[in-house]
Amino acid sequence: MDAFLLALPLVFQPNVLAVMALAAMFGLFVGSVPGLTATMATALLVPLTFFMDPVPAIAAMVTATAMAIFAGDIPGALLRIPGTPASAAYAAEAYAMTRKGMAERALGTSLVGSAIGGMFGTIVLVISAPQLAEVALQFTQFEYFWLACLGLSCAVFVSTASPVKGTVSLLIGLMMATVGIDITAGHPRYTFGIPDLLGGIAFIPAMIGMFAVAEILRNVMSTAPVESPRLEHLFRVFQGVGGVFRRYWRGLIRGSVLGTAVGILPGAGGDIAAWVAYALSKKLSKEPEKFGTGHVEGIVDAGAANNAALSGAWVPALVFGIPGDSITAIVIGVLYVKGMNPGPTVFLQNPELIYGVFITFFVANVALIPFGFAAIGLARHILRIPRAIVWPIVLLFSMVGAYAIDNSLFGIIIMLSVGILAFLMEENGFPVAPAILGLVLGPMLEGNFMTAMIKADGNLLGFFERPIAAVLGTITVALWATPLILMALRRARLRGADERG
Amino acid sequence: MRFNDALIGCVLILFALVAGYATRDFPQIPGQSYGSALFPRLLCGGFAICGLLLIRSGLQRRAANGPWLDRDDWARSLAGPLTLAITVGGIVFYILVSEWLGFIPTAFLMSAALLLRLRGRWISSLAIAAVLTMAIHQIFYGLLLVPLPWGVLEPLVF
Repeated sequence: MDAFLLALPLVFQPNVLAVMALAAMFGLFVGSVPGLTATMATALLVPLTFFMDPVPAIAAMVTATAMAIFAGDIPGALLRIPGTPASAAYAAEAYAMTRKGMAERALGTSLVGSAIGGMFGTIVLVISAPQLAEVALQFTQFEYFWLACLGLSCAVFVSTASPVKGTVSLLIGLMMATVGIDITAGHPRYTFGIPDLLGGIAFIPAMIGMFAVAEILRNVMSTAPVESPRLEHLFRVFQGVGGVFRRYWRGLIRGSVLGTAVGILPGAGGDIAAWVAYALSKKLSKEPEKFGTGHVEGIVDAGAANNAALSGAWVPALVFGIPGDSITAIVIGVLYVKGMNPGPTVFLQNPELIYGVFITFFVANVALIPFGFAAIGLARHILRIPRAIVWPIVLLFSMVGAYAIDNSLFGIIIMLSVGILAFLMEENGFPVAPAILGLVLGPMLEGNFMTAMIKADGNLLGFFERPIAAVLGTITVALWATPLILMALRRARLRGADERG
Repeated sequence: MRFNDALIGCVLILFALVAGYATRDFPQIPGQSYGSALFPRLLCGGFAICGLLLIRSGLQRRAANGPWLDRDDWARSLAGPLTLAITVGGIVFYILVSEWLGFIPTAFLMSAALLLRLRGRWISSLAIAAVLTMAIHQIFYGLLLVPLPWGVLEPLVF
């Protein structure tokens, strides 16, 4: 409680609130321009927030992403082009509502649903994080090693249809993390005699490359202007929304719970939460035949789920230092660069910082309603901004941002190399989320692994001796063994069928 | 531009071999039989296994008449790759010359080239590039005190 009171003045001061308001506008803009994602908003904010104190820096990212995830629904509903991947699950449904003249209802539902979902995720975060942190304080290298393994494994299996490609992406991230002076022996690895690489691959330029440059390269090839319909009755946005939620309150709760849970899972964020929530809503609905024809029910679930996931992702990030999605991966990377190691000790040493994050989340989700309403009103103008102008702006901003971290051109070289790599990866069906998680968690994974190895004297069974470590380890091993066993079973069955046939 | 999985698998195995070979002179932790090389070697092992799995799935697709290289719409005409080349070329140009030419001229030339390519209107593109360059310069040099190089403009400013 003391920490809460200490945190209040940290958030409610003019400059922090001003930063949040600017971040909100930035997030709404980025979210409503198709191709610019919430993750990219975070990546582009980093060079600016890098120069701020921790609380306004985190407040800016929290606000911008919450706004961006909602704003992605705007072009989804008006043009059937999701503004961010998190809106893709129900863009077709929302657009069908627009075709029926119910654009205001669709956007109003997703706006209020987003705010409620985000608030729900925040409450879970506020209640669970301090409790989990108490448990996490007991953890040793063994538990942290397995926890990191488990998180990275989730990222591989959740983020893609092809576990092999997800694994490759993860390995690329982990391999990038080994560059530089090795922490256990102090030996430079893979530095090719380049002094700039001794400290490792600079994290911030790498993620600007991964999330901004790769996106630019993908998008510059098609910048056809889009025509946006006009909203006739802006002030009807909230009309009837109460009725929608009274009718589908179960969906609202379901979407919020599901979204928070998916957010907590490392590697899966708002986009996956929305897909799962939409599918589940259709499955459990009394009128599944209406889905896809402009039916609001799925939008209730999925609209709440993606914002809930955003808050949920902060639970493992704050408690264990293990990011729940790409956005928190960036935030954690930035905290490391700033010399703050996220994990349970932050709850003891800087509790006001943690409560600052909590308060920021509440403020951001409340502010979502008026800011989101304004964005819906301005949507037509935002969507008319030619994307041929947006991409050069984002590119120059990214380059200067990558340069500004160390005032070194080497940052831009890293940004470009990683950007091209990520572009080729996505073109070939390799997800990038596991790579960014690998890059962030690599040093922690290896550090804990090596210390645990020394503690256990090289005996791998030592990794299973402590009870929690044993449970986490067993789950991790089972997670990897299951697809292999299933594959073997399927093959055995096929062979059996061949022999019979 | 999608490559057949088998080609990617070969690249991964090659990478695993080279990166694994590079660990040969990494030191051990005193008193232990492992050291800095252990973790990278495990990763290389992972790359090699994934590489083999990708080669297998790639060859299966190849057997079903899948192409070695699937060029999507954008790669069929020259327009897409040209835009891509101008974008990447612009960044490389910036890396190479910004130190002596200075941020303002380099960033202006780079963004003007890209804007012209994307929009095709001369005067407005040059104007947008100029405004963009000055705005970014003002934010990062003026506000955040990032020492962007002045380059050839230095005698004019100081």
